[in-house]
Amino acid sequence: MLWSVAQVLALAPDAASQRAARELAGPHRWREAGWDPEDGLLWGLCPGSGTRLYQTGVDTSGPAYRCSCPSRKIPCKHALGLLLLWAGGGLPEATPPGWAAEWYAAREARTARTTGPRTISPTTIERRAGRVAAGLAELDRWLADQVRHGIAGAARLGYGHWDAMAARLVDAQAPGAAGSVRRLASAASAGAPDRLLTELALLRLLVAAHDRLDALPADLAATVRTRVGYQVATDDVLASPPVRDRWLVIAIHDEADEFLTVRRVWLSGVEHGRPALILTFTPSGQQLPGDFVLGTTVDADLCFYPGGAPLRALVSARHGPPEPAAAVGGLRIGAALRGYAAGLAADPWLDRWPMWLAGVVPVRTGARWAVVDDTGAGLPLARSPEQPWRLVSVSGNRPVRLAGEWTPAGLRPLTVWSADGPEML
Amino acid sequence: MSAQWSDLLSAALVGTERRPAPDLLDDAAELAVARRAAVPALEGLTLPEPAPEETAPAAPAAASVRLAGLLDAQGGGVEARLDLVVEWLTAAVDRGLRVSPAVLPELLDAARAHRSLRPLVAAAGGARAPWLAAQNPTWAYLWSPADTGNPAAWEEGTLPQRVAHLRAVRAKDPDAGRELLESGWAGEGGEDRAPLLEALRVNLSAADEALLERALDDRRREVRNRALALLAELPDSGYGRRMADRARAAVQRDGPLLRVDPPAVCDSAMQRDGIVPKPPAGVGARTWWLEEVVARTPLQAWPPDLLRLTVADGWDRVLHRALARAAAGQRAADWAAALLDLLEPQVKADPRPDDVFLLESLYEVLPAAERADRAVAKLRSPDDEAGLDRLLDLCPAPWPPELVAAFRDDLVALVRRSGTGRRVRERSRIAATRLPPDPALLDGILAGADDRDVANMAARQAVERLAETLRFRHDMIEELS
Repeated sequence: MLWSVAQVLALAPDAASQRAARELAGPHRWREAGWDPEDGLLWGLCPGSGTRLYQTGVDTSGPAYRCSCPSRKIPCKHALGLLLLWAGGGLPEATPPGWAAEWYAAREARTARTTGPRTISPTTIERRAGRVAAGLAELDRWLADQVRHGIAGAARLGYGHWDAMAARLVDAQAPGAAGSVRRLASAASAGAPDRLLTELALLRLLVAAHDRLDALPADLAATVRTRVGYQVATDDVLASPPVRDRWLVIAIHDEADEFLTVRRVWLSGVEHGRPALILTFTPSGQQLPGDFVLGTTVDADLCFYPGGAPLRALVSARHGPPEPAAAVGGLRIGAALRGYAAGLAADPWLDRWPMWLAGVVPVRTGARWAVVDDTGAGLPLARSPEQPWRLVSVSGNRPVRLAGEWTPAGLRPLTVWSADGPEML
Repeated sequence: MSAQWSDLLSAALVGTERRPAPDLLDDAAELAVARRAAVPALEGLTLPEPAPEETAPAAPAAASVRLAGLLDAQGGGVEARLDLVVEWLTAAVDRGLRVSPAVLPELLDAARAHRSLRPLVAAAGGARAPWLAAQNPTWAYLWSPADTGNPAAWEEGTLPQRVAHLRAVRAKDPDAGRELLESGWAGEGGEDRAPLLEALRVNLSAADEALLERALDDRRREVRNRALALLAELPDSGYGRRMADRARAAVQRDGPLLRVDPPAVCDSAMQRDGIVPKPPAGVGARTWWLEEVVARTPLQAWPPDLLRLTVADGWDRVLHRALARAAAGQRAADWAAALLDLLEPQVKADPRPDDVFLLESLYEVLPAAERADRAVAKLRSPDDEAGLDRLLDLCPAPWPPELVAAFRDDLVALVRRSGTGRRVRERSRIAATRLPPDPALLDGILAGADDRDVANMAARQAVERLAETLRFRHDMIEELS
């Protein structure tokens, strides 16, 4: 099955790559190019600067890319150009040449290879548990101090006040709790005592829950451990029973700071309606993974991280290449809020919940924006310096599907789906 | 906010030292989670009125993606690709297609900075564009009629606000605008008089002459110059008649000959009319005064066959130069064409920079077809470079076939010569958005050019880039078809 041009261009790491790729999408730019419909493998030789010929290969089932050019972008313009040529029906069916077949075989082998479980000695585990418990005990005293002295002056405290506690939690190997402490600073400096008290209280709840970890149900205990900052080993996740569905990619959203880019790929199961999140962390400046394409479905097994309201998942097996899909599913606002309340009951620290809404229209309510459905229910959008003009324009005040993240500050719209397909917001 | 939560919050604000609240954080946690679970869904909202139905079909998805790429600020801003955005929009309008709504916000932002896009956005934006623009004040002003002025701005506003108000009044009622300016003219500050006077350009007429003559006696040179520029635009002004008298005294017909007797002095009346007594370096004073007088004389003052007469005693170059300045300033296309015929051969033989500049100012006055004809002639005549790039720049897209062919033949010759890189690069840049979007146009241009010639590398690269732009435009138009 061929992809559309828009799908291919969505894989481009930046606009410059899109432009460069279009220039390479002509048959005259390629030699010995072809594709193998059975494996979904594309290949071709592209003359680069000087006398060099670059070997370019794309495995559309991943998708995965290989190119002998020096570009550090993934996919590079050659891989994108080859995909564009293919999407336009410009690649002949053929048998892959030796170098392409070898790459494909090596990739298959690597994908199939499994690593043995790493064993961690019981003493290491015990020592860490002791450090975390001590760190959280100190956090508990610190929390009590904050409310004893009063939070009225918190706005004047400066970042150092919060960072010192956060740093001690990092030393105590509780990075999750450390992150929550660091976030207190923004509530404090924004002069939002309501938010600050909420965040302090939720931290206190985390400490209290951690104190009686053994008495908690397994799922809630896993949530507490994750929020405190214990990592779950990938192998343990992959050992859990997989959930197979055709997963629709409803949103792809990147958040970057100076060190790290976090990519969130939100999925919605077509058959079961279950939401899932694929999280990837990439050092800033490096290429983000391009293995999910907005607006496509992929038939795959997902294994969920343990927790009360499990969202984060890993792909354990793909059963086919991504396929273009029409938008399906989606909830009315009332049902979406009930889903969030249920999630919150299972994980009280939940601060980001996917919403896949159907039949909503953006409206201005006073100074803020909201989305409203035909029952008259509305959800406020999170305040943002940017007005949601693209959402308004695409909708034209007609009901659309909308993928977004529900946060305590409101809904953050991520993609809007009109009859023409998804648009990133 | 529940009473229980407010109690907890006020205790937390002042501190439990002063207002004891045992288990404050535990109680707050319970409430906080409950508060979040009962999220503030808005109620009783009504669905808004839908946007008007579209009548035109939307541009295909791939074309919309390309337009979004052109408008992408991260790719260096729309400035660099404005011509391509214009071409995209024009092609869409020609085909009756409309811009995808997803791209409209970026396009409306771009048209805010680039006025040339506005009519195209209005034509290609479908029903959605005005509907959307009406909701955002920064775009609404695109569609609202011209500013009708604000009397308070005239009394108390900043200078730009006052100028805007005056221009608005002039647009509606020129006499009222002039009277407004005249009433407070004596009291206006020195810095403000020139920009305010410039507002008279809106609906300028003979009725403004008295005020402009008054401004000729202003203390500030800026104000005097502004008044002179406006007077020169009036068809039958006292200023024009004074200049014409001076010119006819200096240039007289003697049978088939023109005899030139330049002004002997630059008197105070001449200086009041803007003639600078001190000539530039290397020019005689009387020659300079002659040039200044003729350049400021309305061309209607001359007999129509003036340029066919033989000029006596070698004054022809000075006289023709001065008439060229007059033709450029008065935007007289027929005079400009006739003067170019006289001047081009001279400049080709001796391309002095200020003469080349003069040619360029005459090209600007010509109609498009005449410019193209002259560009073809220059491209076809070897080494006639003076003003050529400017002339090509003034030939609007799409270039006629003769110009395309001449450009191509010239390019073939240039890439086979060394040291032409800069010329090819500049010429290719101009041609990139004016040639028809046909990548085959450049086929074979590089065949036979020496690959190993390092000196020629820049030229070849420029041609390759030009071919890429043509291919981009070709694909862009294809996508819209």
